[in-house]
Parts: sequence; structure tokens; C-alpha cells
Amino acid sequence: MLHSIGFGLVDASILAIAALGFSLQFGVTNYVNFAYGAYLSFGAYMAVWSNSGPLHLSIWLSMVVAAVTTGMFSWVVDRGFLAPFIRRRSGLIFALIITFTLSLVLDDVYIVIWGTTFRELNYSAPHTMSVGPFLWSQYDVIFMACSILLLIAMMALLGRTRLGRMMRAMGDDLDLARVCGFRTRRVTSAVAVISGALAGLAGVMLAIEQHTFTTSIGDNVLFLILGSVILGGIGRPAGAVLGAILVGVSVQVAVLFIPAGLAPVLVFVALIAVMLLRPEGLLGATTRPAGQL
Amino acid sequence: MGKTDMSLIDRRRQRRRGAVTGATSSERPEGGAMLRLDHVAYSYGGVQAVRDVSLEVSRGEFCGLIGPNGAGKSTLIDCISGRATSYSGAVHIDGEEVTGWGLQRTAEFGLVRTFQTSRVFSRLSVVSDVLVGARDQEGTTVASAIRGGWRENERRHVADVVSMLDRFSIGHVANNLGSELSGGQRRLVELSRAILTRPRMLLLDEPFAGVSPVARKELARHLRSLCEQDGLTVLMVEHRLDLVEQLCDRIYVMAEGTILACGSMAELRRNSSVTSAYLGKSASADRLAAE
Amino acid sequence: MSAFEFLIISLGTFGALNGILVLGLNLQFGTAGILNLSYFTAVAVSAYATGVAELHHAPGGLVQYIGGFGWPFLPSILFGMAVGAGFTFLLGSMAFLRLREDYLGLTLFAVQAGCLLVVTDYPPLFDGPRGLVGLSGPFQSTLSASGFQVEFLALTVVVLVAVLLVLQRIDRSPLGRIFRAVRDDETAAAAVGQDPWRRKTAAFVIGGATAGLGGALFATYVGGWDPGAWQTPETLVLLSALVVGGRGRPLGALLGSLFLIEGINEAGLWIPTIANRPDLLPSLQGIATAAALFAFLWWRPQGILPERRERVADFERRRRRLAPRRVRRTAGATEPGRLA
Repeated sequence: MLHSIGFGLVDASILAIAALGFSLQFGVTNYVNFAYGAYLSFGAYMAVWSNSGPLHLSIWLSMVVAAVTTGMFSWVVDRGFLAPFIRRRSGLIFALIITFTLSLVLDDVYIVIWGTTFRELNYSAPHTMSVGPFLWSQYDVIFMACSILLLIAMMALLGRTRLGRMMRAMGDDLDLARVCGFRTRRVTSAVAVISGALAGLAGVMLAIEQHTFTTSIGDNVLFLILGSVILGGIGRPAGAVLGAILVGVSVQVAVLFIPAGLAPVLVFVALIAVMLLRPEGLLGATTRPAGQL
Repeated sequence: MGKTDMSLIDRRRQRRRGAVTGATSSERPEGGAMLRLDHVAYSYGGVQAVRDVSLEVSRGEFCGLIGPNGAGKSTLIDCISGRATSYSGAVHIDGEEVTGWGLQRTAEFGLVRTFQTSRVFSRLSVVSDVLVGARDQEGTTVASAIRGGWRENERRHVADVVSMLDRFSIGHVANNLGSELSGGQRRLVELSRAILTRPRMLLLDEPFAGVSPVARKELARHLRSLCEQDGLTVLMVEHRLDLVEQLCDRIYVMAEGTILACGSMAELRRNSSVTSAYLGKSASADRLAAE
Repeated sequence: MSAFEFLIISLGTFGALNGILVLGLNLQFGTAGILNLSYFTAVAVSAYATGVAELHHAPGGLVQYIGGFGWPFLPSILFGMAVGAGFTFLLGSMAFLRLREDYLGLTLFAVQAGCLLVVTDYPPLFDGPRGLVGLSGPFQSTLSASGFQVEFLALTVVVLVAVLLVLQRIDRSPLGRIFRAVRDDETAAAAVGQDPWRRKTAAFVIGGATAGLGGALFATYVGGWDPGAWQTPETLVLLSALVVGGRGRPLGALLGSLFLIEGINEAGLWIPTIANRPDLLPSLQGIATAAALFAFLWWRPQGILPERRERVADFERRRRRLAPRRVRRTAGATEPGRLA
């Protein structure tokens, strides 16, 4: 049981990093970016390219490369495609259709470029250590440390920097933020880069955890990311992490009692319950954001 | 309007009166409260928007609700109409208690409201838009829609819609989509839709906001005729005091969530608490500016 | 039957089946404004239900699934349709009652993601990734292979026409107008006495029943069903057909499905398979479909055949009256003496 909790915490760390990025994007732009899963996949493939490709970088450097390149990719997609489209056809329904379609297109593009074969990363074998009651590898420990650091960094960004304040303002009331003279385009660009980088990083970690992966690696966890963010509360970094911990741990623990295939049902039920009973999430505020996209 | 012999015009006018409220002026029951609020209070997000409001609107009366910004007037309208349901106190419409009823249920019962920013169905044509309000339509359930036989009924309602649009002089935009209308036209379309529901009572939330001076005269004339000719009961929130004075039989003044006073415009002008509530803020602003 | 004939007939059958599906989504999204990203989940659920109704008990061992009633064709189809409608109803009653507008899209997306995961990873339900096989259409055992093809084509075309007539009737009725009003502004509709929840659920469920019918027919035509072939992209294909063809207009939806789905499918069959990349074609088709969607969303979001605008003249009696009517000055009246 304790081992399951331990594994759950590792899963939770990866989920948390992804959820931080997703929550940031959702919190500022007020629409769901279904293509987020595709960014995770992109990160994993970038890591393979830098790790097993011509550069032969170490796994750690590859992680950095993955984060940076995915951040750039996310920026390009946002600046060149998403933002102009949403400006032209504003409205929640259109945003959902566009990001939904985008996620599928990216999947197809990945298949065209990289094919459907399973990929692997080159890294030294994980050796499991006993840390207290848990069984963790060196990678697990690094991942968890990363997630905690990133959580602190995100909270600092949103709470103490000018950029963070603008992000929160835009999330609350976009029109008002524009009127106050905030450079909203700069902020959305920054959001795209940061959330993309986080997605890329989470993607690599996921690839390391799973050993082999294919183009759908990101989409498979999008469901869990959504669950974490909704559960914990939109736009709050601590909420995203809390949600991720709850989802990650409970999935691992639940597998002890119910068949593995039914674990998504658990997450789904929790998701619906939260949306009906406390839509703002466990840590969210009760006011609705105003203003259009 | 003195007594006239029952010429063709009068007979038709009497019939039309009945068409809106289902009762002609000669049959209109005298007095009786159409709307009654008892100690309604409502707070949200930590703000006590409505503190303790009790008021009455008699059948066939045209009542005004005025007050400075932030007095809670629109919130009160939200409570009465059922857009907000978690208020305390009691609301009665035409003798029936409707406390806590939602927007749709209240509207179905006969209290129909308009909004500060007029709401039209942007992808429907004006004639379709107004048609949505019509009472006793056939073909509105799945079975009856498939079965058919509703065309005749629909046609009759369309005739009502067209005459309503003509009455408000917007017949020429009947085929326009909601998104193709000007602000003033949207107001009138929303109003037409509300009236077509043959309501017991109409709640208007700042119907003159953003309406051009010419359209203002027209709208005022139409509203007054609805009350006088058709016996409709109206409660109107408005900022333009000249229009309120012109249209309303009785006026309530609301400030800081509660009713300050009630009476005719002349009486209210003499009321010092009213004038200070309204002018107090701007008077002190003038003083500040002068310094 | 030659290979070419077989190709044409099967294209026709797929076209009709997709047409049925697209009409259902059109009612949900085009007319009632519900962006149902889990539409294909309802289709899939119905297909599975039809399967477990028609097939006999699971042989056990490696092949497992629930149900297995061994019913004949028609009851199985109706069962599948009912399950589809019921699933949609459950979904709708949960989703419409309390959820914020932006959570609705999210929920429906989560449903399809979650369902896919469960069905794939939990074999006892529907035999996991392998899916169900061995389904059959009406009289399939007594007909020749080509006879069955022709028969099923006729069947689906008849069903398509029936579905089109029914949905078009609803679309042009006062009920259809109320669906649109609730779509455009729920609050305004409620303010004149229309119940948005009731109306949206009605449109949702009828669309779900249509999805169920299509899914049931699909399953019995193809003879099997597995998660691998029916994932998320399928909803996108239907959505694209709607946006391209014209959402809110049944004929537009059919047109879109004809151009887009049939066009891309057909084009796919004529392109030679790229040597060692068999996976390339479906992806290219997917990209082409998405590109069409984006193009239309950008330049012409109302689609090829836009939603009909009801004009005053549309309500006039079709038959001309024998006696000339007094001219009535209504909007759109042009020449005197003519029925305005």
C-alpha cells in the first residue's frame, strides 16, 4: 500500500508539472487548450531527437532541450495560429473546436514525421532505493524535486512578479486588463512559452517513466491532467499540484482494489462530482472570470 | 379618451386590447396587487445588494423604480424575475407566491422581463425571434413537431408578430437577423417578444438606455399605450427622470438596497431624503470641484 | 460482383451511414448549439450494445464481453439505438444541469477520453482492444456476399431518407426554432418561458438516438467493432463535415458529409499506398479534414449551405387564394396585388 502511494507520488509529480502549465494557460486565456497533450508528446520526441539522434546528449540535457524546444513550439503555434484564429472567431465554442482539431492535427503530423513505431530514450538504468517506506529510483526523486521547485517558481511568478500580476488580471477580466494598458499579446506569448516548456518537460519525464512511447503519449494523460486541474482549482498553481497529487496517488492506490482498466472511471467520477458540487475546485476562488477571450 | 359611439375603429381597438392581456379595459379588475414584495433581501459575493425591500404594484399600474447607481435596482429586478433565487423574503405575483422560482418558471407564470443590454437571438430573424415568445404554440413538443399540423397555428402567431412589429415601426427589419440590428431596434425586438407572451406583468430594466432621442419618444409613446390601452402592469427601472415622470403613475426610490420613498415625481422632489440620496453625492462632487 | 462495383456500393453504404451520423450531430451542435465532443462515444456505445445483443454468449476464455443475448437483427438494432439514447440522456442530465458553459465542452471531452480508456483497458466489458467480431446484418446468412451488399445499401439509404425527413421536420417546426433560441441566448429564452435544460436535453437525446441508429447499423454492416478504429478523430470528421457543409441545416450537413467524408475517403482509395508507411494515409486524410475545417472556420464559418433564415414570406400559404386578397402592408411586400 505504501509502495503504491510512493508510485502515486511520482506519477503525481509528473502530472503536477503538466498541470501547472495547463492551469496557467487555462487560467489566463479562459479556454481549454485540448492540444496541450500534443505538446507533451512533442517534448518526448524532442528528447529522443537530442538524446538518441545526432547530438547524443545526456538524458538530463535532453530534458532541458525538450523543455526549451517545446516552449518555442508552443509559442509558434500560439502566435502564428491559435491567437489570430481566436481573435477572428471569438467565442468559447470556436476556441474549443479549434484546439480540439489542433490536437488531432498535431497527432497526425507527428505520425507523418516520426511514424508510429515505439520510441525509447537512452539513459542509465534506474536503480531503486528505499527512501523511508517508499521505493524510488533516482529519476523518481529528481522528478519530485523538480515538481516542488517548479511549484515554488510558479507561485513566485504569479504572486510577486509584474508579469504574474498581469497574468492574473487577464485571467480575471480580459477587457479590463486591456483597458488598463496591459500588453495582453506579450502576456499570452509568455504564457504559451511557459506552459509549453512545462508540457515538454512533463512529456520527457513521462517517456522516461514509461520506457517506450508513441505519438499518443501526451493525449493519454490529458484526461488525468484535466482531472487534476479541475479538482485542484483553475489558475492556482498550488491547486494544480494538489489535484495532481490526489489523482496520481488515488489512481495508484485504487489499482490495488479495482481492476486497472477502471481507474479512469474513478477519476471521471471525481471530476464530475467536483464540477457539480464545487466547480471552482478545492482551492479555487468562487468568483467567475468575466470578459471574453 | 371620452366616450364614443362603437364605431368600427373602437371595436377593433377593444379587441386588440384584449389580445395583449386577455382582458379589455371594461373588464379590468380594479386595484389588487399584481406584484408584492415583502422584506426581500439579497446578498452575493459578500455584498448586501438588497437590504429590506417591500413594495406593491397594482394591476394596470405603470410604476417606476429609480435611485442612484449601486442602489440595487437591477439586482432587485433579478430577484423578482427569478434570475437570482437565493433571496430572503417573499414575492407574490397576482396573488401567487413565486418566491425562489427560477427565471423560466416566473416567466411562464406571466412575469416577463427585459434586460439592461437587450438580448436578441443573434442567428434568428426578427420574426422568428419574436415568435419564440408566443403563447400556446403548437408543434413545440417532439411528437407534435414530427406529427405536424401546426402550420395554421404558426401562421396566426406570425400575423400577431407582424402587427406587433408594425406597431413599433420596425416591420421593415422583420427579415433581418438579430446580429444585423441597431441598438434601438434590438430594444424594440426584445420588447415585442416580451409583450407577445401576453404577460401579466412586465419588468423593464432601463429600456431607454442607449436609445436615440427620436426613438425615445416613440418608445415612450408605445409603453404608455400598452399600459393605458392594453391594461398591462409595468415596473420600470430607469435613470432618465424626465421619462419616468412622463410615464409612471407612481415611483419608488431605492438607495443602498432599500426603499427610501414612494409617490409622484412632485412629491419626491419635495422629499429631502430623496434629494440628498440623489444629489448628495453630486453636490459634494461639485463642492470638491469648486475647491 | 466486380471489385469496382463492390467499391461503389460500399462507398454508397458508408456515405449513407455517415450521413445518418452527421444529421444527429447537426441537431445537437448545429441547431441546439451543444458542442458534443463525445458524439462518437454514443455511436460506439450503441455499436457495442448492438453487438452484445446480437452475438451469443461470450465463448469465454480469451474472448469476453457482457451480454450476449443472441437476438435477431431488428431487436438488436433497436436495443443499440435505445442504449445510445439512454447514454446520451445520462450524459445530458448530468452535464446541462449545473455545469458552467466552458466546463460542458471539457466534460464531454473527458467522457470520450475516459470511455476510450476504460473500454480498451478493461476486457471484461467489451473484450478490450480486440473488440467484438462476428456481427451480421439482416438475412446475411441467406444472401450471397454481393446480395448482402446491395441489400444493406438499400437499407441504409432508406433509413437515411427517413432520418432526414424526421429531422428536417423537427428543424423547421416551432420546436426547432426554440432549439435555436436556446442556443443563441439561454437567458433570453428563459425570460420568455422556455426551459433551456428541457430543450437542450431533448435535442441532445434525439441526436443521441440518431447516433445510436447509425452506430448500430455500422456495426452490423462492418461485422465487428474495436476501439482502435473508432477513436476521437471520428468525431472530428463529423464536426468538419458540419462546419464545411453548413451547420444548423440538415441538407447542409449531408452535403458536407458527402464532400468531406466521401471525398476524402474516396481520394484515399485512389492514392497508391506509400511503400513502407501504411500509417501515412489515415494521417494525411486527418490533416486534410482538419485543414478543411480550419479553412471554413476562418473564411466561411456558416458553411456551404448556411442555416435557413425564416422570412415573413415563408409563413404565407403556399396555395394561392382564388379570390384576390386585400393588400396587406407587411415587411417584404413588393408589388401590390401579390400575396406579400
